[in-house]
Amino acid sequence: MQIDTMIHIGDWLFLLEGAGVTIALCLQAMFFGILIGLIVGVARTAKTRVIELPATAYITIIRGTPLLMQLFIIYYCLPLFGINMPKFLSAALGLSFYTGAYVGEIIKAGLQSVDVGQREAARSLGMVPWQEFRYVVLPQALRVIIPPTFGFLIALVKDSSLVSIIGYVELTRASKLVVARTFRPFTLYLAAAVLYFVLCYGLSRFDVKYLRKKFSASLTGT
Amino acid sequence: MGYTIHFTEVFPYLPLLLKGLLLSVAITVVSTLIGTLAGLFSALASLSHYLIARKTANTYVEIFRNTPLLVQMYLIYFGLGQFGVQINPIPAAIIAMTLNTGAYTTVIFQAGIQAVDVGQKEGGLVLGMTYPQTFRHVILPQAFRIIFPPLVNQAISLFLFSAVASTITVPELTHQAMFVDSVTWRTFEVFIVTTCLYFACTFLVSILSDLYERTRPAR
Amino acid sequence: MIEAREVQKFFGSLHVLRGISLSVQKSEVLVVIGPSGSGKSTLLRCINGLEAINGGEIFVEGAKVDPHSRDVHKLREHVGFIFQRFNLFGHLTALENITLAPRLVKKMSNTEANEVGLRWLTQVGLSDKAKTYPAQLSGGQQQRVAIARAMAMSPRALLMDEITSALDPELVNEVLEVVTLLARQGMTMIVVTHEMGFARNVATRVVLMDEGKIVEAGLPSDIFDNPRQERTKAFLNKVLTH
Repeated sequence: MQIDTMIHIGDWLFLLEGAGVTIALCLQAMFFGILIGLIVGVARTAKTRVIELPATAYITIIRGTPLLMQLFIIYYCLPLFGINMPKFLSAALGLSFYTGAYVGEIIKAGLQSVDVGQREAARSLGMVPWQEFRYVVLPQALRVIIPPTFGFLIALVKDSSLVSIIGYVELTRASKLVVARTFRPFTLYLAAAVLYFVLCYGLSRFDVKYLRKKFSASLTGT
Repeated sequence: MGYTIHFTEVFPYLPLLLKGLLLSVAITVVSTLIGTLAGLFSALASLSHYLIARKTANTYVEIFRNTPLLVQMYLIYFGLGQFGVQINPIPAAIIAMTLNTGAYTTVIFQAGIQAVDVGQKEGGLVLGMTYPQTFRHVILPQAFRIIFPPLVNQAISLFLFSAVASTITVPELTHQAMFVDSVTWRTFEVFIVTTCLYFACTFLVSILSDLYERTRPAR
Repeated sequence: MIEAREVQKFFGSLHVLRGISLSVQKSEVLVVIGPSGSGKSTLLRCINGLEAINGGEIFVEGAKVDPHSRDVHKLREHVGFIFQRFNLFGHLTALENITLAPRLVKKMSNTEANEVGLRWLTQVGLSDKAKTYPAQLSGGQQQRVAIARAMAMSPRALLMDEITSALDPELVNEVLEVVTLLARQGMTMIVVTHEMGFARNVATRVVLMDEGKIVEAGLPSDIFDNPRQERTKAFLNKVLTH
């Protein structure tokens, strides 16, 4: 039994390229996802049912169904209705909607965490609703929103591996392709795992060393 | 180019889909049970006095929390083949899902245990109870309240990600859905029905766990 | 029965106990008073091994106190401890709080434990609260349950760490009454407290601690009426004028 664990430099570069695609994909999804999340999250806090209900439905459905199914539906089903979905678009859209739902829920929780007393104080000082939101609610809500959102980014990097199943070439797909050529599944998947580890562990170290300190200080000065 | 929707063509295959769903539930439940137990021990190890226990537990947790479940499954099902070891799809999926769950539940347990007031621990110790007794009768029951919701979320999440087991040929729900699609060509209908089945399960579990939480005495 | 010899304790670089020596005989009630930060609570926690000391020795009934030993819990069977914040087990009823340790540690049967538990619950005046949870009890009631919980283990000595400091003023007396009763029954006690009236009435000896040292020790009448040390006088002035 010969264990050849050497990976050709060309293959390493291919994997690194895949990792780059993963990073780009995740950043893209976070960007659009946060935009969606803002809309949906704010809508979730609305008092009118017409606005709140679709947002809640969207979040509940996305969070209650497998990401894989969401990707399949976008990639395999939309073309049936004439919408042509190239792989990268399916991947990006799928992950963006996925992110939007989770971040939306985080934003909703963040907005609701701001003490009602804060809003009352703002109003009694004569501020209009948008001022109240921008200067009083949002800054305080952000402190509660940013840490879990960053945590979601770390999870997203891992979840992005699912787009390999619809054939999009990111890190996992790249490693699968090299395996098909070299027949060394352990070596290659381990390499992919290591690259994911570097990304995720790196992000979580940043979280612990920097983010936590910046966003955990109590706002009441204690 | 129109596509007419015919759900009726999928209905004969519903039993097959349900069989797949049953398997999805089964592998999730098994992995959750074993994984949660493993997580408890791992959490205790990570909080122990012995450096080697702490380091082992923490290393395990970091490895399995910072790599995707999909890659973990590939490593076990395909990867071990490089050494001539071939594990069957279902056991391979369960092993990967269990190891994954163990890492996540470790963190949940750590948070829960540390959230219990240190005074409770001292309250037990001063009565002459040993630390294991105090842990079992005083700390753990109170940590449970904090631990329960995240544990349920973890189980639901695992259930949703069990879909990736289809890629290592486990005949769970997603795999069956792809089969039905290949036979009926009713891709949209099949996937919608499948998604609804997943959703029904998670929705049910959420409701049940909400109800359960409400029955616990207020403290 | 309890003896401390030149006890030293550091918290990091903070020298909290600087050579404390005292001894407590059976049925004595030693009251420890002094300003915050003088090390009173720390001393108490060292006596039953909740904290490890950095120098000197502590003996309980002749046996040396070693927090790192595997048998330290045996010592705690005989020396009860009442906390400032009660530390009742939130998930158990009052009676369950009291019977847990007797069942687990003294291996009593359920019936036996319940009997003992109810007896002590009645002694502290809370027999009707057996099935209530701590969250539903007032501070004074919780502390009385805590005392019953400690007494159910039939300890030979009790350590009390400012047990009324966290209580609303109107609830303090009900707890002090219980402690006075126990003292009259001959229980050996070391009590850290700010309640001077109580100290004067119940103590057989009073000790004043400041900055980790024992400043003055003697009979209650001596300390309160004729303090010799300046620091004692200063402390009493501050505490007794309000």
